[in-house]
Amino acid sequence: MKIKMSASRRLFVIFNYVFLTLLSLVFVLPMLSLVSTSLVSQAEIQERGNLFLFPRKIDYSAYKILLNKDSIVWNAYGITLFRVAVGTLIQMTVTCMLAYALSKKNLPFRGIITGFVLVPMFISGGLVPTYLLIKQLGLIDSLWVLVIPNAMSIYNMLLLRNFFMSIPITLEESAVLDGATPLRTLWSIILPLSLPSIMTIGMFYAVGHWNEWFDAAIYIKGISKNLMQYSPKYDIIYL
Amino acid sequence: MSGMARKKHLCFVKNIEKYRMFYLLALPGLLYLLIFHYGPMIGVLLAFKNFKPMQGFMGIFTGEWVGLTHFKQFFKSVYAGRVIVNTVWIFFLRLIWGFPAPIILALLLNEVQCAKYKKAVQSVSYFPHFVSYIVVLAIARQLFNADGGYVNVALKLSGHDSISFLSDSKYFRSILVGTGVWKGIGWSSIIYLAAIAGIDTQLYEAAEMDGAGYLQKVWHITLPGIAPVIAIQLVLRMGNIMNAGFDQILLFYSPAVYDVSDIIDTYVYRMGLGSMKYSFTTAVGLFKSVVGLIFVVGSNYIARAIGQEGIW
Amino acid sequence: MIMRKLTCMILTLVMALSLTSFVFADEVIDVYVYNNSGGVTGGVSSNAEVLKELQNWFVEKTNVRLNVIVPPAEEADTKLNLMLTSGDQIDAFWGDWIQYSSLDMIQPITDIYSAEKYPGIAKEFGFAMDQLTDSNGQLWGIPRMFDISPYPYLYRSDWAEAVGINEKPVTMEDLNNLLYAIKKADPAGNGQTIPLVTTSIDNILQCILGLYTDEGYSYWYDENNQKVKLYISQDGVKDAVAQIAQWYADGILYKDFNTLDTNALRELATIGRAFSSLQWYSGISMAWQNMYVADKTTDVQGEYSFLANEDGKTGSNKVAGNTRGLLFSSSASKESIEAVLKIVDFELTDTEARFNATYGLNAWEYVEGSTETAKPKGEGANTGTSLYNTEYRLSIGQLRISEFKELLTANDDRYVASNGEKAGYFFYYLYMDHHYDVDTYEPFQFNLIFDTNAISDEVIAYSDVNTKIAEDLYKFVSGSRSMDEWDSFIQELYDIGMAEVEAALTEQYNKQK
Repeated sequence: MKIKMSASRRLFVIFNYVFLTLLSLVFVLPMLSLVSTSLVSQAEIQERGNLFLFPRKIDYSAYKILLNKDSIVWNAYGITLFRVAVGTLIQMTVTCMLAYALSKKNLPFRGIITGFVLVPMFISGGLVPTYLLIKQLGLIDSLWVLVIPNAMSIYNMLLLRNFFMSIPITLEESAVLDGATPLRTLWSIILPLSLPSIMTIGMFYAVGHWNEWFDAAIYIKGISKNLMQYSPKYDIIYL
Repeated sequence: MSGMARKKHLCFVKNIEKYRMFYLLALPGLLYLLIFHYGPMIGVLLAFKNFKPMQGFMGIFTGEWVGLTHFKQFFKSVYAGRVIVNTVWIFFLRLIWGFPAPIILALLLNEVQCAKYKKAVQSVSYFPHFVSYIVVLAIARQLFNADGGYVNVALKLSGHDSISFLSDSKYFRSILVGTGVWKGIGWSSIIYLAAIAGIDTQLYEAAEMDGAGYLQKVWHITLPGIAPVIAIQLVLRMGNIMNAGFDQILLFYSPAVYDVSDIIDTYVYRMGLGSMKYSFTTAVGLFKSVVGLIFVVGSNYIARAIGQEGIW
Repeated sequence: MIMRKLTCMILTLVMALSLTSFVFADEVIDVYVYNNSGGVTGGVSSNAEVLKELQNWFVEKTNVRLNVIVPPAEEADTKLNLMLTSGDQIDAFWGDWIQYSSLDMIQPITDIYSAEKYPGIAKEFGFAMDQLTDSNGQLWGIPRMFDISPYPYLYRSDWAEAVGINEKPVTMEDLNNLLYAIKKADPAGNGQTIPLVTTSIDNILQCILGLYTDEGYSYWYDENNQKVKLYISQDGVKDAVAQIAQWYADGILYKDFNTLDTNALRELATIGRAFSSLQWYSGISMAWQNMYVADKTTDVQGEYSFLANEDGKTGSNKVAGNTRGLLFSSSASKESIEAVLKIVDFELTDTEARFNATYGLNAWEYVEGSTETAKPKGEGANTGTSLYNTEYRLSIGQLRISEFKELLTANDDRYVASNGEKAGYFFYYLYMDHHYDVDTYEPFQFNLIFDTNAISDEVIAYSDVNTKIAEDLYKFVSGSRSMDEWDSFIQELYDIGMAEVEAALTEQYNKQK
């Protein structure tokens, strides 16, 4: 049965498409400008300034230097991939487990634990005590400093907890009746059911790792361990 | 112990037994928080001491106690009031413009029938999240500069004088908040789109059969469906009331617009002189955190009062 | 029996001798240096093998194993301060000696350094040592930059010649003639010419305030009430600010200067719009340098001039130089400090060491016919330098002509300093021509330490006053506040606590007199 669209609805749909297209332009244009700037020669940037939409003449010299086989960028990429893969894995594991536990309304001491989890979201000792702690734990200059001190984001955990809470209890109960442990239930029932939210939170974590540079800058002294963030920023803006 | 109380007590103990495995699941996360968040938290003591950098770790305990001196220092400043007002004001501007925007975007995207187009717009909307504020500033200058900025070119053509928007107190905050919204709208809409995707489609079908129009569906099904997510986002955001976007403001602002955009963080930063004023910055940070915590508790209370889940 | 005793004695003797030889044998000393000297690209690491070879070469030659920590591209100071605070071993780093000594984070090297022991350092930096010496005669480090009076007026002489002005502008009158002539002629076309550009009002004041006041952009001593005061309360500041306001109103000064940072400023130059700057010297000059490097046939020609009054009073203040230098942390041992100084001296006295530290081991060759100048081997992006980030270059300081020679041919007459030497970096000779002579003029702040850290700790008004000055200067310049209100502006500063600031400064001054 074909539903006839009312005139106002048709208008809305048109408006929606137009609006979203314009919005997309607003999002795309700056990105286009960035890409164009990276694809021209230094001389052209000097002539035209740093912001233009289309290159006059494409020049790959910036990328040649960046992706040169001797370039440190490869090592940096390796480190970034490490932290994105391993870091996200650690984060998802820790977060899912805690989120699941806290999603149980009848968990004894739930309120206190939630409070315990919330306070660090707002109160922090600051950079110096954190650095001293990292140092005490011997993590300075270790690759693990990129994935352990940020093993869980309280914010993401709370989001996941709420997602878990919206899953009907009946599905879990049948698993429990069959004698499944909470871990088993989590793995076999809850996770598959909340795949969209898992993916979303996972993506938040992964992108967070990709974008992060401050911890590497501060905690890593040795050479060859700097992350991706520097190189592109340096090359695209200054080359 | 009376019979009733005894029963409760046993029930309680049995509960802990029952939930034993859950505590195990929770352990890694709680341990992590204990070590990496509560551990350094002892550093807030620095706010009450005169910390000398060479004292190192022990300085947290053995440093000279000065009580509320640093806090008083901050409030003695002639600009203390102004920076607090600016912080809160910019926070609220960002909230009013930046909080509903991703929700509206998610709703609009949800109405799009063509799946490919929807995916395309969604992906494109993430781009600004990955663009650093340095580039955003360059774009803002290109648009708003008195000399040759596109907006001013248009103004001149229509007979007005050019305005140096980025240096003008009347317009600066609008540009600040506007670019901030542009940068965050796509990324923030992810969570709402995920929530919308989680609404039971049967509800829509049922409403359809009851003769509900599109607007009614949104009002009665979609919004209530994502209300919990909206509530939790809002409550958590209130905790940031003392954060007005330091990174962006530091880049964009200038003495010309200190009066409207100098926030607590930028003011302290200028005082910083090499950022070794650890005690002072810890004190200000503590003040901000406590205020934020109060607001979170307050808004959580309000959320529960109107029937939403809240954080706890 | 006697034989046994003898053998015993001989064995003991041999053992004792071998032990002492152990003690006297040269041990390799490990030193740790945080290279935030500015000569190293942040966040970029040298190739590990290349670095190891170079490190071993240094160990061979000096018995010092250099471990250099490359600062990140951003937050370099944050990282340094965190490392120092947490007790990480850093023997040497670059920084402001006044700030670090007031926090007890560095130690003086008065007893360790001497001109005899380190002739290379003495020759290169000796004359500037007073910049890092306090009023008690303690030497706190090796200077990094010298007082090159880094606030000249920089302009495009090719455009100036095109409007018929062939001499450097010296007085304010000359300057105004030039600026207004350029504006009228509009060399960039379409009204795109920007006669004057800067990133902040403070920069302009640094360049011209000395023409209007006694001390320029510096603290000054008011004889009338025996107080040390901030620059803003001098007579004559009002006139300087009025001049800047005039430039703003007449379209001489770039109206959006507030939104510029150094890169944006350089961009305005490279796209051919900016004519001149009143700014820290390496702003616009690097832009012109880059334009020249990109196109050797370009017409762009940069020129500098130090503004002065008819009576010889110069515009840029001559505060007691730069206080940034190579500093030694208070936890460094005497051996480590000596080791670092040894490396610095080695690089300055031995040309091979200098070029190895600059370009890398075996990555350079002498320029034809010279034993003093070198250039990197190879062409393009794969030159010797691309694997090595110059982090072992501890002797960095004065810019050397020879370093930049490879940018120009040997016969390029474009940039010639007054002593006839051809300068690769055209503004290098700003130093050579303009090093101030203490005998003729001693700035008020010379050899005085003003610990602004301590002041801002105790006197909150310090930041308040600075904030208000920054805000209101912009208002005066942009015209939203009339210059007639200058005196009430000064009064307002006193209302928010400038007197306390003055009292604190005066107190520090009196202690050192």
